[in-house]
Amino acid sequence: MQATTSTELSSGFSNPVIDASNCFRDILEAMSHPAKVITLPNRIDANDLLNETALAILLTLGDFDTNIYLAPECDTQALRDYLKFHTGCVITETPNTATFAILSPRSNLEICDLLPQGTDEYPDRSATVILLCDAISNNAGHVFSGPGIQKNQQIEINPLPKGFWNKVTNNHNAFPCGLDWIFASPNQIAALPRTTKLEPSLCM
Amino acid sequence: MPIALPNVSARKHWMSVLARSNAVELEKYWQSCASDADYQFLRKPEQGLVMVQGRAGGSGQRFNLGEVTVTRCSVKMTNGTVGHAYVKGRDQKHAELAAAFDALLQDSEKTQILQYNVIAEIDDSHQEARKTRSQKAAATKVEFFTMVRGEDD
Repeated sequence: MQATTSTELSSGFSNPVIDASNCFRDILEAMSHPAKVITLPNRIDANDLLNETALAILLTLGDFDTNIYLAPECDTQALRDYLKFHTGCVITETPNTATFAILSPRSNLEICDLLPQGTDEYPDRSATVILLCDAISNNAGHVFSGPGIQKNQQIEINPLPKGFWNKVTNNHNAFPCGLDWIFASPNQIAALPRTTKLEPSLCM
Repeated sequence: MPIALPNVSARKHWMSVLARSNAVELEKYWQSCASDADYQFLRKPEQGLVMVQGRAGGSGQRFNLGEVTVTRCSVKMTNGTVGHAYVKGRDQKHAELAAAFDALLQDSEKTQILQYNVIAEIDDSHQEARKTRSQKAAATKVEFFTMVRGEDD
């Protein structure tokens, strides 16, 4: 049987320019309306590498200038090969050089402290965390306010790593430094930029 | 899983021969040798620029000679073998067929026959064309040392 190391490579966007533009628009929509759930059409065959939306985000935003850190729970050789082939990005072993970090609900959130948080002069030199999850909903959960949210916005994310909301609060308090979060379920995304504030158990 | 990578220098050779060929020539060989092979795009043909560097006399300082248009393509055969191609110019069909041939040539059962029927033939015709061209050029060679240099008082 003929088998090479590159055999597992699968295809990316079927129409790279159009699909990446549309996906970029969806990410922009999510980032400018924090905590709002955006449904993404299925543009990609993920083949168990990651979930579809997380992979689409990486294909859209990754290029030879971005360092991607994969948490040990998501790190596979097939995924590395796939990302390198389709985006030309660098897979980094050290969180402190990452521009994007992929975490799963089983990941240890202490990794987040190692990711670049930006500086007061250059708050943009920080990492964006893409957190995999199973489901996101706007009908229940924690309440948020901040720029891009008219009054307040509820969001529930399942499952989450331990101590996640604590991290989000600390992250907001560190403004203008800090991380931006994108939650990726198999067909939906939502974002929590560092500007978004977690409201202390507000009753609706 | 057994990992069978083709001989690197052999692959370099056939990729280079395929890249220096053209779409019409490759299409002809595809029809005669591999028309039943099926593949899908991993990366559709896309064009870009590559900076070509030179060295004066092959040993001087490197300098940027200029940019050249390059088309690249990657395909996956139905059996999973992946083929890549980078070809000079903008011919998308050329890149596609070169990538497809690269994938086929990695298949150990077909390597021999394709090397013989396709790669060797294309290579020979290139060599022949090159020889003819250099013979034509050699015919116009000028001998610069015919002038008497005035050393014989």
